[in-house]
Amino acid sequence: MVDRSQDSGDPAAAEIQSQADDIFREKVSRSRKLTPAEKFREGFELFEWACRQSLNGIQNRYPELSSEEHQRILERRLANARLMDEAGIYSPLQDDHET
Amino acid sequence: MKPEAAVVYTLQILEELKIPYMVVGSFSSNQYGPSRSTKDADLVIQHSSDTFRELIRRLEPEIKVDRQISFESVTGTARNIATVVKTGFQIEFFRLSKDSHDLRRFERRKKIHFEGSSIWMQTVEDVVITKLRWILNADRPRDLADVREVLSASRDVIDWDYVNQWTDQHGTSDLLASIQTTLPAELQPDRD
Repeated sequence: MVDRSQDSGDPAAAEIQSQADDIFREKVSRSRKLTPAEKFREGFELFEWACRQSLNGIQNRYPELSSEEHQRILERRLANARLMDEAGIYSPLQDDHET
Repeated sequence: MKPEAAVVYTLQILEELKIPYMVVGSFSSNQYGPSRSTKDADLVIQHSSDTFRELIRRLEPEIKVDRQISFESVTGTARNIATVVKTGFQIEFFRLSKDSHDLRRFERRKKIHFEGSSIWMQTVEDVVITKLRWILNADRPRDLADVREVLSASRDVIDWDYVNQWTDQHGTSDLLASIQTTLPAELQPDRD
């Protein structure tokens, strides 16, 4: 990210920033055209798309395993990603296991 | 059960049990900016022990709720995690805390319409305020990206008086100003 109040004077950096801005504008413009319901649904669609890509990779890496085992590997990867996301933020509450 | 069906089902059960809730986290920032993939749906709920036990009973076995409560250190909120079986997708139930902004954003939640029903969602101002607080305390890159995108996509509808009041309290006003300087000029919000 670049603070636009500062000019680095580097033409290459300016060109990259210009391209990044175009992509950013396109994302923002597209999001404004969606209805609230379409936006709500899109989060799920993107999750499922990402899972399909990951499963393809897992199937190619471990062709000898069953589809159930591929799914378990995917779920483990998701769990590991969460652990990394949440490191230092969440901790178990020791004295209240029941709600 | 697919993640979308599981979340819609969960929200229906919350309505039936009269448990007030609001959608927060990525699904709320997706409402006000470009969407991104997320592996969980975050819900703030206001409940008693009895109603939560009934919620668990109604969700299982397809949505499995971990009884272990975890504690989040940024705003002091407790949560239970539910997993949509065989998908890796999670639904996180955050208890409405005593944090003054948590209480206020819950009062201000608004409805969006989704397939013939309504979903309670936190407002765009509260997405920005909450994300800024997380950037300050947890420094997660995706929160910064979310704030930039939400500010740009929703800049015409943001109640700046409300945002400024809370960023002053949370010590995030300078952070907000610095993020705004990184936006393309025509997408920078007009805060006057």
